[in-house]
Amino acid sequence: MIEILVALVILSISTVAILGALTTTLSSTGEHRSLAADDTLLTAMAEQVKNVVELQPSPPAWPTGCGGTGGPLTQWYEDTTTNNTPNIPLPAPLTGTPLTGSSYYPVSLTDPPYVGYVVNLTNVQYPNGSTWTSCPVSATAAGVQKITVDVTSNANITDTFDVVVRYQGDGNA
Amino acid sequence: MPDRRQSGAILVLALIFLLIGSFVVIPLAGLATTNLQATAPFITERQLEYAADGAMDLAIETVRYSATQGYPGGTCGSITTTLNGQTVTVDCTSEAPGTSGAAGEDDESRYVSFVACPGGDTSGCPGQSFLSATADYADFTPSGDVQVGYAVRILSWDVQSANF
Repeated sequence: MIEILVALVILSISTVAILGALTTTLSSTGEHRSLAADDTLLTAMAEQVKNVVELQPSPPAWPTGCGGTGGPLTQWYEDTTTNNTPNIPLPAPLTGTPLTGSSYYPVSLTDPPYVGYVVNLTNVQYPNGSTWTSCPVSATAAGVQKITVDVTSNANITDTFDVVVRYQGDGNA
Repeated sequence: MPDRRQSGAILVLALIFLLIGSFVVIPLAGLATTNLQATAPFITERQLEYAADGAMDLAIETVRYSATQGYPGGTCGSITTTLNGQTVTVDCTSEAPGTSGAAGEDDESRYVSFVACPGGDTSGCPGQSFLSATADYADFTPSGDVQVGYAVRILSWDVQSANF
């Protein structure tokens, strides 16, 4: 009888350990995949911003004005006025649906594996020495802008990333 | 007849099961740990690369409109900024225009080299740099008028590994 009880205890512990290890592996794999997807999307968006603002043969006019939350510069990146033809389109082949009626960003993605992910461009800032501020401190300081890219996964986890663009044209920005 | 009692057999079977289970659990735990441990360095490396990229852009643009930085024989200085939680210092060095042999270098411009390193690094930046670049500044308009920082060309942009 004691022998059976001891065997049952051993079998129970072994079974729980195996199931626990399987569960942990599955959840950590899922977490890793989610983080990899977030990372890929953040990098793609950052490169898209740099590509559109800096690297096109005929880049858009250098965006100006104060940034920060709700500033006209941030609104240019969010595309508040022409949300059907965004200034910063999503990187191909991604497509999405704007979440508000007044701007393109934040936009909810509609393509696998990012269905339900929300991407936003926020809080554009200018350099002020080694720090960052909403309005350019001088005419020559307007040639560098920092854009914050937010990605919120469908598990409602938000990852934030800053990307810097530099004025490539002649003369002052 | 020999004694063929099966007393203790189930215990032996349970121990065998435990042994087999441990062969499964240990590799699975290792796999889960590796996944979790690998994630943080990947994220940090991406943050470092973009922080260096942004700090380099900031340094290039700062020197561009400076009437004192980047001239041959003069000072060039450094700039430190924090992006994506990573502090990066960019050191710049003034070179003599027209002497480096770099492709496209212009005799009438400032020629400046930059290296980006971990912020606060005191171990010798070039040895620890994760990004280096050279820029050629034209301080004249096409009509010949003097205008500091009228144009800038990036002559080289070399990314080293941020994984250290």
